[in-house]
Amino acid sequence: MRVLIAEDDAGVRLLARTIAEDLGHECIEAANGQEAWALFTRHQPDVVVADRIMPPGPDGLQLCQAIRDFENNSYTYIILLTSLAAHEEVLAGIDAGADDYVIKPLDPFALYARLLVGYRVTSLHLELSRYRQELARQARTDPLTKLSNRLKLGEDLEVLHQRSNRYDREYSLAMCDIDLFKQYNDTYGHQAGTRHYRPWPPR
Amino acid sequence: MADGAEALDAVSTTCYSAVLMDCHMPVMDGFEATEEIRRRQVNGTRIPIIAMTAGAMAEDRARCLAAGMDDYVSKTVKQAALGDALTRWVCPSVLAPAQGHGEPAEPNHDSSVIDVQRQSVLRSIGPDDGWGLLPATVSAFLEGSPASLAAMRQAVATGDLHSLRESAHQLKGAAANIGAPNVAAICHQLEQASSGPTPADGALIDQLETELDRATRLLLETVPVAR
Repeated sequence: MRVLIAEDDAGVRLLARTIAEDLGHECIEAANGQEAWALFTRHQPDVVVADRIMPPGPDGLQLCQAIRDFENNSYTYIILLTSLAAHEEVLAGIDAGADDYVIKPLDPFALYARLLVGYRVTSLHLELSRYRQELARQARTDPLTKLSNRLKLGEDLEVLHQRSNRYDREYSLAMCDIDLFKQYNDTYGHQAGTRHYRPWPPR
Repeated sequence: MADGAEALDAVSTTCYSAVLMDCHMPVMDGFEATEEIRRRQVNGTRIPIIAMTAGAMAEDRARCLAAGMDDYVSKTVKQAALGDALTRWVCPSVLAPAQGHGEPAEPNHDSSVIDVQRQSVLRSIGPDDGWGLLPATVSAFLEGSPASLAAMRQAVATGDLHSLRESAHQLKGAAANIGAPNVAAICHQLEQASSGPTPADGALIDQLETELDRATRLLLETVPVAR
């Protein structure tokens, strides 16, 4: 997985990087909040290890908040580095969206253990998002013809209509039907009718 | 160690760079323990023993030296005096392991200047040469700390509390990471002071500079840093 380390001290950064790389993860580093946000939006890492205070730019809490607002289908596991075990600071961090925290001075083993959890949690989220996409696709597809179903039609029409309003453009709908198909079913039976269905357009 | 007998055991099983010896302890006092250590070390290297005496009387000192101690600091122990005594007696060549000759020796010195435990944590990961990440992290610290100090001095001069707080926080984190507790503690004071009603003055910065110099010197002596 890809790990973003956002920390203003070069020594701590090096330490965190070594731990993450020992676990076989790819690392990107930011020395302040500004860089961290730029790297996050460009690379969308799976895990972010963020210092609590790292001027200029967003601090650790603001970064948590921004990441949570930004993500839709993905999940970023956020580990906050706090310089002391200040309870309010930790709770504020978790409230802002952090998943876990490590107290500084950074104990390599503590970060190592948390990155293991981070890997597990992001893997689960990835699997979950794949299932979600598949489920959404299935819910909008007719299993026999593989055509989009009524639910999808409703959604597509909504989008189409809004787009035409927004850009002030017209649209037209064509309705396709198979004439006399009921007669075929009545004569040869529904099973025979089903056999004649083919996905259309042909794939 | 809580008494002279324990000290004696410790010295006979582990190689220390120096002993800080309280004169008055239960079971076996500092004088007896020193005499015994000296008796056993006839053929070995002479370990520096520094007395910590409550009385600053000349006769106390004479008694310490007579027992075989090398130096003394009076109680309550002042950091600077202890630092000086250690610098006098603990030879830097003992502290600094020779480069490229197998497993480096464990440096042993004043733990409030340099925290050896923290350093061994840094040595436990990274390159497999016995030094681990220590040289690289020390080098990052030495590179960044003068700028932080300068920024803090500047901030105090101009009364810019916000910058002072930021720089103090930054150096505190860096010092804690590298294992320089005194530097980290003064930075913490400066950070607190810059948020409180009584802003920090130059004296605390001077103190920080002294501690930073001390830590820097020890780091350069004990860690193979490419400069």
